[in-house]
Amino acid sequence: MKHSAKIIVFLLLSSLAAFADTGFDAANKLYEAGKYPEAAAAYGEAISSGNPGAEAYFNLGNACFKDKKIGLAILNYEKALRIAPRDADIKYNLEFARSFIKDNAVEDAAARFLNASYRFLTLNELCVLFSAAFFLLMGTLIFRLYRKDELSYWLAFGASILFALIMLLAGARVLDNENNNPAIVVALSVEAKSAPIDSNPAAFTLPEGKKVYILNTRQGWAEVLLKGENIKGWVKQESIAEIR
Amino acid sequence: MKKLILALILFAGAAASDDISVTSAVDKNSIDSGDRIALQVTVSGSSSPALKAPQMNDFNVYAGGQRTQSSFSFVNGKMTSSTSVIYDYTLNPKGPGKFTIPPFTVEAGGKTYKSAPIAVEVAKGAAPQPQAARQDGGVQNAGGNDLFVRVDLNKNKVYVNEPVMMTFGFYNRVNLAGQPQYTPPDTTGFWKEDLPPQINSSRNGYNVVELKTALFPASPGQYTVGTASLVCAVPVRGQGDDFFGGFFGSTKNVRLDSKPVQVTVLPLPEEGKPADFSGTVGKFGISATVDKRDVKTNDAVTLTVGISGTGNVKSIAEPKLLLSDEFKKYETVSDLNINKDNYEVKGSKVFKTVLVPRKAGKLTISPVKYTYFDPADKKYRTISSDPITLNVAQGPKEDAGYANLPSMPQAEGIRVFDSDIRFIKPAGRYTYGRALLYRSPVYLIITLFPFFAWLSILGSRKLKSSREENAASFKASRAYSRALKSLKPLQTAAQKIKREEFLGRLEAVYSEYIGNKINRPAAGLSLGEIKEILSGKLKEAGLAESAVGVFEELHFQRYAPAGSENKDINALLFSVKELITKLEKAGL
Repeated sequence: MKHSAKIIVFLLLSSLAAFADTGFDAANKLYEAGKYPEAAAAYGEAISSGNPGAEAYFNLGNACFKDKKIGLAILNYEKALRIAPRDADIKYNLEFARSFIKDNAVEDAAARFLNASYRFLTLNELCVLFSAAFFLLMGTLIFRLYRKDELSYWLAFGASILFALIMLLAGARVLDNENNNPAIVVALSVEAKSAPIDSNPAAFTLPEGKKVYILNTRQGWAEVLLKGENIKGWVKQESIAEIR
Repeated sequence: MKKLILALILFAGAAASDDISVTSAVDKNSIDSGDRIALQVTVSGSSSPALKAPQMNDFNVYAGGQRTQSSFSFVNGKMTSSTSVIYDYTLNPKGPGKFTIPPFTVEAGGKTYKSAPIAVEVAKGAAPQPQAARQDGGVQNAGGNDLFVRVDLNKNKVYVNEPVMMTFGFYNRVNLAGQPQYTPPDTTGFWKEDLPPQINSSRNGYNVVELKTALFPASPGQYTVGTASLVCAVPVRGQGDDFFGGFFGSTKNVRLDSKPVQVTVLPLPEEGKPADFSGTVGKFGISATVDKRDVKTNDAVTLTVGISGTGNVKSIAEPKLLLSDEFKKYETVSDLNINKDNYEVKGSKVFKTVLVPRKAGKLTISPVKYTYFDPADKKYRTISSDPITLNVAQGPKEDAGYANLPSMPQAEGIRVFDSDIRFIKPAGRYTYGRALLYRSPVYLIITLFPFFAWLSILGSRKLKSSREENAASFKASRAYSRALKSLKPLQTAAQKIKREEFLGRLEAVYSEYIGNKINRPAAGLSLGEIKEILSGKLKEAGLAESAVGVFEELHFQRYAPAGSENKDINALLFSVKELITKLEKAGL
């Protein structure tokens, strides 16, 4: 009886999954047939119709890359990496796509490692971890209400240290997420100006695929910051795409 | 004349880029019979097939060689190139009359192209002279045996591409005045290689000057090595015995012509002709070397194949390299080296090919084979080099260019790799959405739940203890009035009840008061404990001692043996009452 119930649940789930993934599978077939622009459109469709998974963004990035759209490829790899930050394939392809743009600000190994550790968990995983640490801390405090002894003291001490560390990390990530709006340059060669005025001369150029941070937007213009180079400029909003 | 030719060439090139045209032109249409006609036949077009000369019985024909001109022309914006081959002939009419130079033909692609016939009128002039003794302006053939020239071939039957040694010999027994002018014979159909230096010798009293030339016939057939001529100035002895005439009279120009020589060019035998025959005739050897034998993968190795020997070295074709897929092969460059020592055409052709081993291990370059025809033995021979083994170590990964992206977008600073992105993923592992958890109120409430739990537990505990405290202080605040209330009936009943009973009830009232004040039943505590609690609560020194002293006093009066120091009970009552008031005032 239990067994048959399990089977029914499994069938239900798999049929649901199949229903949700028809667009995705069709897009995969297009990709395998080498029709990259069509595959990219199909992945976009699948994402907007309720499959915003890391695979979908990853595959969309691949299709864009094969279609020689480096900026869009990097954008979608970044999106995929936000969902699955520890996925080796996504990391590899993102690095690979990035190797096609000449980035002046190259991270050294230490910065890379720190950044990778900082982004080891997704924001949601970190939130769950934060909750768990808080549960643990409060549990030890409640335990201490009933047993005021050395054991309860050390338990509460350890839990508060753990909680403090996780809270720092989570807080930094949440603030980062709230205050930084990263975007990728998706147009071929973008000129940034010192003011959002068409007639202004270009202040600097941005290669396709470069990561920028949006500070302000104003009438079709976006003020962007290049963190590595620490320069600001205004670019047309349609030439960049937000990662979030 | 030249303009005419040029115009013809240009016309031919412009009119037909694909077609072949044959035109012929003469320098003059009417001549005296002793005169000559210069005939030029031009074959122009995209290809240049061989010209077939017609039979011309009315003329002595001297073929004068050929030259090639290339021209490029733009027609409607399209560039066409054409090659013109110009054949020069000298025609010497055999007699007077009206003649026609018949059309010249070429055959190409199954079609025959003809030049227009040309009419020529030969007026009766000086009688045509035999070729070998013709007098020409100031030039006079030497009648005697003092001077002559001859052209000799070392063989008259050769195979295609087999060298024929042509020796032009100038024999003279007289002194010459001035340098003779040499006109080489017409060697149409041969590839010519002059073999300097000239040989000077003396034979049978003649001074002999010999010039050697190697001739390589291009195709089979019957060929004629034409007349070689030499014009030289010889001193003339005057008529009679004018002594001085011999010294100073002067010289006359004498033209010496050689006899044409026939050569039969045999086709190469079909029998035993290998499929990979290179077309080279002669005697050759082959060698193959590499510049290094210990290499890493993706390092370049130069394979040098040298074919050297005697024969038409220029015609050596690139040998086929039979290489496995373990090698990447780049273009071959060749280097020709001709040596003409000892009046033989020798030399070598060196082919250099850059190879890149793709995998590590012992790789073998298989022997390079070359097939040629040896005319001495009349046999085809295949020569092959030794196999070469390379020790290939694993080198760094290939970094040669991103093969699948031949035209990457022109974005700034794009670097190109040979690897590829990783393949797409099937659906399944990370299918959850990207909504942010920390923004969801449900998450926040759930997260805050243990805090609320802790808070509520803490609160309830506080509330409970404070309630108990309240109860105690209530009791304490009312203890004094209750004690006074209980003492009043005891005072009135003092005379009526027994002394023991009175003392017991007085102690009970006192102990209840103390118990209420310290929120503990005083009956269950020892006097020491009571004293300790009270001294913690009372600041006034000695008060706690006197409060405990009352207990002791009451005990003593109650259980003391009768008759011994019985205190007045009213006084006891009064002292208890006084102490309670005192304690109350002290803030107990």
